[in-house]
Amino acid sequence: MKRCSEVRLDLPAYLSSELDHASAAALDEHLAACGACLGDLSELDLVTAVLSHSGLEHRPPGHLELEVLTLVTLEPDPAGREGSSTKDLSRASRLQGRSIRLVLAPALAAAAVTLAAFGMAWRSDLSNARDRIQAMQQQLGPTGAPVRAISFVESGSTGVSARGELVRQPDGNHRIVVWAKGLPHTPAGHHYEVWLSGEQGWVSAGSFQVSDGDSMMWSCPVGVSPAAYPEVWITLEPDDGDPRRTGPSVLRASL
Amino acid sequence: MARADAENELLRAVARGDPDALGELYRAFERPLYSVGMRWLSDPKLAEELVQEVTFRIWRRATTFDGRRGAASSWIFGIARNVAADLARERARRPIAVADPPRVQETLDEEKAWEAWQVSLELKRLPRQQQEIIELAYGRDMTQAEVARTLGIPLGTVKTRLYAGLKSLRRSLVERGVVEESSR
Repeated sequence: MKRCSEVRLDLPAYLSSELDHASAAALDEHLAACGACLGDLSELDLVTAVLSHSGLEHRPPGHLELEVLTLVTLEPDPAGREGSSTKDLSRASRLQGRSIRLVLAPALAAAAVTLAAFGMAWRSDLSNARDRIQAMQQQLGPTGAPVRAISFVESGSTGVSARGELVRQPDGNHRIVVWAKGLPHTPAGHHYEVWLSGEQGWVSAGSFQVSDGDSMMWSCPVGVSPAAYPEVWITLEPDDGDPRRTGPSVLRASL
Repeated sequence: MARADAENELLRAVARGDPDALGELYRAFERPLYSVGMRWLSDPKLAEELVQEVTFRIWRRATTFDGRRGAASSWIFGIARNVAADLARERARRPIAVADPPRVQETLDEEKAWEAWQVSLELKRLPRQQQEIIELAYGRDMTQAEVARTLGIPLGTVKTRLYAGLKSLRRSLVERGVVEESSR
């Protein structure tokens, strides 16, 4: 006969009628003689009943988080926010001739990647990022040696993925190259900004826009020592002239 | 820090305009919000609108939240209820295309939605491995053998994690008053 600890692991399957006839009969026999396991069954019955009508089958789409957070933080100033709703933003957006949803919807169709900084087009996926980075380095000329790869982690589950590389240039300075896929188009009045952060604070490494596809490659010299600023962030910032970081983070990485 | 205190603190950080706090709060409540949206509105697009609008109102109104009057999750649920009612009214005013099926009159079943809201919040707090097994078993109606095949893990591991997850969930739901404490 099974011990209680073994019987209890079978209780969820018993409740969902997954046990075969013999196993169910043996469990019935055990329950008839064991008040503790019967009590456990009763508790599990209650919780599985709640689960069965709790709507667990509904999962929000993966793109929703970045869309919503991007839209919601369109207002950079946290003070005095009582009152309006996204409808106001939608109305404002429609005045500009675009639906806010369309502005923020990720353009997931495969598209040629426009490299604004270099005027080149690529078709690829992230697995080829390193090849693309090396190709871009060739375009840049004798830029020096890659120091280390950068693995970005998305801030949330938004379907954005990115890799990059820290490169030491012949003059001893560093350059960061980033390749990202899945970034939503930059909303009007905003830009993506790359930051380095460390104990001494935050330093902007430059900004970029995503407008022609859902992928981008970006490169910029780094004016500070990566050792002193070991974190890399990509945030979505409003075009408000404020040099500080105020927008939500999209991607981050450690050098 | 207790969970409710942590959520309240997050909401206070949102009130100070911290976008990362908003992101963290969003990730804690996205699934429950979407679930109640689907429950009340039965439309994925409207459920997305609900998530968006509720998040916006949290961002706009976080300064009005008073932790002494209730927990952050209750405050957010109240906003969701109001937004759902607005969206349902708005939908009722829209013209119905001939090809559309007849609409079911929505009633905001608040008690069931509140229960589902609590379940969704507590489920998210379980270890990821337990959470995914419960979601597959009770969200997608998979058998334990199917769950094991889907996740590529032994059936015995599914049984162990499922049992542990259900027991943890029950304890949390008892604390929240969703299920009754056992009399034994």
